[in-house]
Amino acid sequence: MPSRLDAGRALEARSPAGPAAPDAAEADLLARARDGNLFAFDEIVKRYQRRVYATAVRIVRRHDVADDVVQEAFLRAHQALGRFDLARPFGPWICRIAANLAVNHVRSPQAREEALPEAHAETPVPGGSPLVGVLETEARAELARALEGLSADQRAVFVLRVYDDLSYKEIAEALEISIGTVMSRLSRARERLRVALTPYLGAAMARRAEGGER
Amino acid sequence: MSGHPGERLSALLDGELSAVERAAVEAHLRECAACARQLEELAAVDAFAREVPVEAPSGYFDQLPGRVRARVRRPARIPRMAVWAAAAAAAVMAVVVTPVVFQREQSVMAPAPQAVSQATPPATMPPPAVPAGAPAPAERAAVAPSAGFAERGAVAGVAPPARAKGAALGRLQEREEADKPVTDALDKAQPRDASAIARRDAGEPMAPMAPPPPAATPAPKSAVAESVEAQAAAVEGARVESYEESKKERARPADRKLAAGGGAFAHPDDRALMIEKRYQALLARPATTAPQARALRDAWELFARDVSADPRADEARVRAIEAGVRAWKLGHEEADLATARARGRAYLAAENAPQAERVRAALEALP
Repeated sequence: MPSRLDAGRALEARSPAGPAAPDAAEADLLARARDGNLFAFDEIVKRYQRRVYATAVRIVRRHDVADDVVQEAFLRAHQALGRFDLARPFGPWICRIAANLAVNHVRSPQAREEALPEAHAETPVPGGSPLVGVLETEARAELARALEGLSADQRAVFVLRVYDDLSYKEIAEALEISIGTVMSRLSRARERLRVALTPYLGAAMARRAEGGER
Repeated sequence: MSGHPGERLSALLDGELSAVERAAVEAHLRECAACARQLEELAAVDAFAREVPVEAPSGYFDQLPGRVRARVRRPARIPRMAVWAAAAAAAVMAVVVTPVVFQREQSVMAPAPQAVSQATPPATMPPPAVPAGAPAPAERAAVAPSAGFAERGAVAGVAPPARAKGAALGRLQEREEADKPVTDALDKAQPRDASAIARRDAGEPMAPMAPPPPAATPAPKSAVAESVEAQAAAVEGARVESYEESKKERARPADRKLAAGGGAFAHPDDRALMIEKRYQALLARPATTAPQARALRDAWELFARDVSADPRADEARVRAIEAGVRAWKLGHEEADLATARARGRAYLAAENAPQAERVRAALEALP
């Protein structure tokens, strides 16, 4: 069944916000920020805040905690800029810091006291797109529940791989685990989500196929 | 291959299989419709998950940069998260508070505080947070304008010992309690710091070439700040890769304490050392791309400005020009060309231009 394999391969090749070559302006900003220019660092924060917040909130599932994580991640990045290789892209690096902080928070005794999450952080604004039908809304709620059901460690691996596009090696470094552990956690996380979402996947696959043939 | 690929299906999606494994899994997929279907569904899970956006409260991203900026400007403030971040919790409290307690006990026993601070502590003993014989505030102010930071370690000593000891035990559940003495102390120390920032802001509030804030200059920091930094570096160092410098960076706080006789405050020699370190770091900094060259040019200019009376300032000015020329060569941007020419001319026009020859040579490379 070659078509299915191709689908798999197409996904591998995907690299949406591809951090291939860091752009020149960014390296410049980082260099200035490293030399103590707060204005430059401010720009960096503006560029990356949404991405870092998304990574954090997807792992911790609470806005207030994600907010803490994001601030702390930027603070640590600022302190460590002197050790950062400017030739490398900043995005994956800051996301790794944020993910590490997020996971550590979820593991902390304090987080257990806080226990109950707020209303799903990921609940989409209804009616955002006309294509988002009832089924879609249900599927999203199911996804949110399924993600909630994962352990923070599984969620972190899933988020760093699927949303932040990090390699297994990078994920392993960020979370201080082995590459083998990354592979098995990710597989288990995906499998749980797959089972939970089975009733809805048909539609998603159909949409994907449409998009792919165009 | 035997059996179903299991977790290798997920790894196949990510392109994380070796060529051999991949061939084996793909061969299996051609035979096994169930696995092929599973792979397709796994891919659909990812795709679906990516479609779901993340929402933050409205206006959140308008305010976040300012909030981060406020915290970056007060680098010594104990981050809320450092307390619960993994092992940092126990370790930070032990490092920050224990020395204070220890030092207080010492000063009761020792007749001359001076002697305590001069004595080299045994290796097993954490260095005292504050030297009992620290220089008087006036003396400190004379050395560097941002010396206010140095007081923080001392203020932390105000914390009631009982509380501090409780914290030293690293009892996580008492985070708020434990955190308080130190944070309060830092808050008390804040006014000086704030006025320093206000002064700086009054001048040139964040213009691109504004003088670096205390965090980046060889400004003295308190033992508290350094302990926290060292801690953060230790926690992060392992995975935040990079330069050889990182080792020196992490070693620095301890070195400095020893150099200053266990003190929290940077000695004048220390400032000289920091300038030299900065100079060496700039010399070693690569400039193989236009942005790097441009950043290096700016960094040299900043350095020259910061140490204008130093003999190295002239070398820095010349190197800034050379880096500027290099930036133009690498990027061919008009702005770089204009800057390089202007800086070169300014140098040659100055009364004191000991390296005029070198600058002329650099400028010859320009069209």
